[in-house]
Amino acid sequence: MKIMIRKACFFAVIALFLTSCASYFGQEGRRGVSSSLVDYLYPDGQVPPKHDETTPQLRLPLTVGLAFVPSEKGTSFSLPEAKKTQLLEGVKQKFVGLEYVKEIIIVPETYMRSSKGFEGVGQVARLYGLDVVALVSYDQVAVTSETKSSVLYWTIVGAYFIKGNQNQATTFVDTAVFDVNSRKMLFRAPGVSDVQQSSSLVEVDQVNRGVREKGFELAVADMTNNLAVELDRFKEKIKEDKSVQVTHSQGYGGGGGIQWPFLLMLAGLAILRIAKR
Amino acid sequence: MGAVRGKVLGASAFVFCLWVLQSYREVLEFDRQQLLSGEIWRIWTGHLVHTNSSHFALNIAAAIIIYFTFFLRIKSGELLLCGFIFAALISVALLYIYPSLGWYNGLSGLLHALVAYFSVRLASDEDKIFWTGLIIIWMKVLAEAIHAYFGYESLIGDMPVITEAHLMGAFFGTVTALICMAHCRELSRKRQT
Repeated sequence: MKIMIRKACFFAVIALFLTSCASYFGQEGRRGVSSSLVDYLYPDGQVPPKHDETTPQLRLPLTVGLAFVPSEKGTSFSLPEAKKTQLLEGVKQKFVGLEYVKEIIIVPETYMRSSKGFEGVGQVARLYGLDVVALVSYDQVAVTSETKSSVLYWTIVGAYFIKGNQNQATTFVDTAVFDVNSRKMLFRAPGVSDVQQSSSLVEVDQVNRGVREKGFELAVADMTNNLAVELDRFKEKIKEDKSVQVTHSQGYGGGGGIQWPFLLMLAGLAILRIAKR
Repeated sequence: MGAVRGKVLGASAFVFCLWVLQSYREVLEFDRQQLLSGEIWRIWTGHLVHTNSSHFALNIAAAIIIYFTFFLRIKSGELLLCGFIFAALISVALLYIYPSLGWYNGLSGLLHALVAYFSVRLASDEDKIFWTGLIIIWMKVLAEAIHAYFGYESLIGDMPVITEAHLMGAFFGTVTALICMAHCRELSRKRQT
């Protein structure tokens, strides 16, 4: 009987230790970080105003502000400020050479966090002298799950060498470009990414962080390309529907050019002249 | 026939030289800050460089049509002298009348001035059909001015068209031609008396 009791105690202790081991390392779960443009621009349940007929006026060349919409709560899961600045720097480089863009200024999130709503955006715009603000909102869900091979985590060696965890980050970013004065959205562009990477149990935190950062990088790169496409569409749209009035401010420039209609008219005159001879 | 061949060769050489100059846009275009800091050559060379190849192609096509249709009888020296004077007048006008204009390039302002000037001159000398050229030029610049007044922008690709240069060109071309015409009539009247 004593032997039976000893054996039972032995297995109980072993089971306890093994369970503790698994509990100690276990990271399975679903976490996310997001920032909402609507919640930021219309805080405390404000209702967006009714549509008004004001035509936005853009004075070229434009000074453009580029900023992440602050997330509701600062968690350890959100990207560090330095990484956000680095991502926005990549977006800036894509558009910095445009003739109608005077300057693109990256606005730190701390400035955006200080006050919300269009009033807050207006304050930041006045501080930096911005004509247009591009606000980047995001939503990322990261999932870490164990695969079948995670059964080998029951051995200490397995926890170090068997890649039994699957880390996945699905990221959505969206940039909305606003005219500061009229508070009207000019255009928007989304970007998405889905990144997966397996890891061993002890690497879960490190790999998960890497996957989340990679997810943001890819989504922002996708959004940057889409933004360029949307910008071209916007230029064509305002030429046709005149929904935005474009004027020039100090330092504008351009070329003296003959356009197709006049060139065709000249060619017609030339033909008439030759026929007359 | 030989004279026409010479003009074709001259025009081809001119187009080739302009094409070569396109590589030096940064140092040749009308740039307000650089111009005011002493780079005076930009007053003239700004009219010879272009923003992009389509801008260059359209202006050169227009210049060739205008030259071979209307101005073939004009001496090359006179054309170059007029180009020199009008380029300076347009640039100085852009510099002082439009202080917010930062930079400018392209031949079209100069083309407007030359068309306006020679239309008046040739119409008063020989062929009244040249008044049509002047009327077309003025209708075009007025339409552009009205278009710009209502806040609309003329574009060639991504490049804004500076219609003010066209207006200045047409203005200087017409006024200079009218002054010359009045002066010539005064001289001929004196000779008769």
